[in-house]
Amino acid sequence: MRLIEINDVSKIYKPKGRKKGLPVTAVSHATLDVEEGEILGLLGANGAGKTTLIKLILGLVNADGGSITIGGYDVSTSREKALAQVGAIVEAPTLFNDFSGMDNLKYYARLQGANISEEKLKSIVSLVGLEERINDKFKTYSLGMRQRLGIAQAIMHSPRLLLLDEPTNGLDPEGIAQMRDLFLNLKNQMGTTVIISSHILGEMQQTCDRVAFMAKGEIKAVKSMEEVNYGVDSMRKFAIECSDLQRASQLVAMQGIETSVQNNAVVVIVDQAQVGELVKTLVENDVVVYTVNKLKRSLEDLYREVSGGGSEHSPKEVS
Amino acid sequence: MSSKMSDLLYCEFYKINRKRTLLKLAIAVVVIALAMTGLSALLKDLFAGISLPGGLADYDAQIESLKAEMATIQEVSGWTDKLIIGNSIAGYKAKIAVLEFLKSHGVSSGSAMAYSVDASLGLFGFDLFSFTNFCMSVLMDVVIIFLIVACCRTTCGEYSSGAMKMQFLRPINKNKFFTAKWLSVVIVAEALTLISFLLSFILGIILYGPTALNVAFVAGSVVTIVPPMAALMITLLINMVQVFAFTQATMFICSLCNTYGKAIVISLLLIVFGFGTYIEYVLAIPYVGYLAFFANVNWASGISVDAPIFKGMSIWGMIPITLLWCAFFMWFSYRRFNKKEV
Repeated sequence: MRLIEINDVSKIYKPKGRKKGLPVTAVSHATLDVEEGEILGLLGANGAGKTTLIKLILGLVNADGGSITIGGYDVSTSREKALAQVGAIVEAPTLFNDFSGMDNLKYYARLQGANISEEKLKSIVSLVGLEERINDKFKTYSLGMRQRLGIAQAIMHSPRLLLLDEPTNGLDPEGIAQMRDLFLNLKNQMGTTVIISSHILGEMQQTCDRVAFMAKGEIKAVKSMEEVNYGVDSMRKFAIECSDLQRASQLVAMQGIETSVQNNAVVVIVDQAQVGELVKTLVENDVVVYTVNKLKRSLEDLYREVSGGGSEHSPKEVS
Repeated sequence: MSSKMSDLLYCEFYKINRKRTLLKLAIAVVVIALAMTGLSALLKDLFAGISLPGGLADYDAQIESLKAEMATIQEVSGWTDKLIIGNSIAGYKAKIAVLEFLKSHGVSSGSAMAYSVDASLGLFGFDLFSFTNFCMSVLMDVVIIFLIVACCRTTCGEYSSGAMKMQFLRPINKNKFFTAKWLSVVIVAEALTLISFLLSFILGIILYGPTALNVAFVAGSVVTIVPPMAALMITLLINMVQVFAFTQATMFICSLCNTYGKAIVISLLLIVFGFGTYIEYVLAIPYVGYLAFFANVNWASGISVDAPIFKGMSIWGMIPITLLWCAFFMWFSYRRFNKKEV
């Protein structure tokens, strides 16, 4: 079931007041459907239009064309109904500096119009790992703690859809792993649909079911993680570790298969069904095969491919 | 599941009171009132034994002086009942009428405090509840500064800090959201106005006691006595309407600005120094009559008014006019706030 339907949406920022300059097309004719219960990643370089697209989905900015519906409600005409089941963070969460973390959560719970018990708030706080500092003022929080509180306010009312713009900004590696587990748990246990925008490839690769690649305001491609990892056809990349790399490489090449030697392994791109035959050939020719590993395609390569080449601000690989 | 108006109002009060602001404001009002009470009592004791030179005869000297000034102006300008802003023949006539009235009632010089509803329109009021009025006027400055800060903080402050964006992630209706902001400031400011008035009144009664002759309104050379309590109620009502209008005007300015600093500076400058005067004019219209006011407006040379015909204490004319321009500013503010992107 489709939860979000984005249909030919555009957003152009025009220079305001005395500012001179040309209008900037932040999002151009974006079309995207998001299925209920999936985790979709928005991947793109800085300025690719990810945040603007999220703002458009949330009705924070007005679209210059097209339509967006959440759960069947048009965001521009039925914003309240559309956002009733949404939790979100956009850019760095800016909560009230003079309030404690818990007071902020209580404030936003009331603003949501939801009856959220103190026990539930405490359990959410514990989920995001802020128990020890929840009664301190927000202004004393580090960037990572602010991010955790932002995530807590986004999930406290058990939303059907979670929109997270750069949710792991400022988090330490342990925090990133915690949040990743949290999003996966929300998806698996509650069926929450999650949209995450990020330019960190590793994070996307480990969390998402599908990835939408954005560049220059356009959605260049939408791929399932299977497609991202292994390609769209049955051809796969395998690394064969064996006793004689040179001999193995020659034997593979004799069969008309493209091959190369990388990291003490013969790397081949073959149809999955051919692998057994290939190993049999090597063994019959006295090459001892130690391991055969299916290699994942690099998300970075795919990003460069779909966005039409690299850029100095292209997404970064973080292990 | 979306936010109700009561939830939104609760949230706004929660924010206004986040640093116990209301308690601090209430304490400030009491402290200022008490400080003025102490000062007033001290001055009363200091000047208790001093009698004004000339007693009632002092009025004659003042009246003669005013008549001479008026004659000079008439001679120099060649105008009869015309005026330049703030210095009108009608104003002179009203001042003279006030002094003659005070003299005829045996009120000693210096014990009555005259205040001008609009001096250039020749419209005066004076009262013997001077402490109440003085105290109230100072406390109202506190209330107005509060409402300006509260309006700017809750709109432009949240807009520029990014807090507005976080709130708009919730299923809230923008119109209801801004209504809650405006309403919360109005409610608190009006409550503070009421507290200020009651405090000023009670302290005034304690210090100086009630008096039979309280307020006289003068238009042209006609003096009208107004019952003391009615006059006080009118003062309260005028202040409350002013607070309402000031809040709306500040919201209007906030809708045009994006930063807290800019909004607060413009609001203070325009409202305290410029807009306040405009509100005074608007409030003065019902006293002088709508047609008399507009017929004599000459934008090229300032405001020129013949001695207006006094139409009595009809404050009811003031309210629809004030509400009318408040409604216009409110409509404009809503349009601006709704179009703002965060």
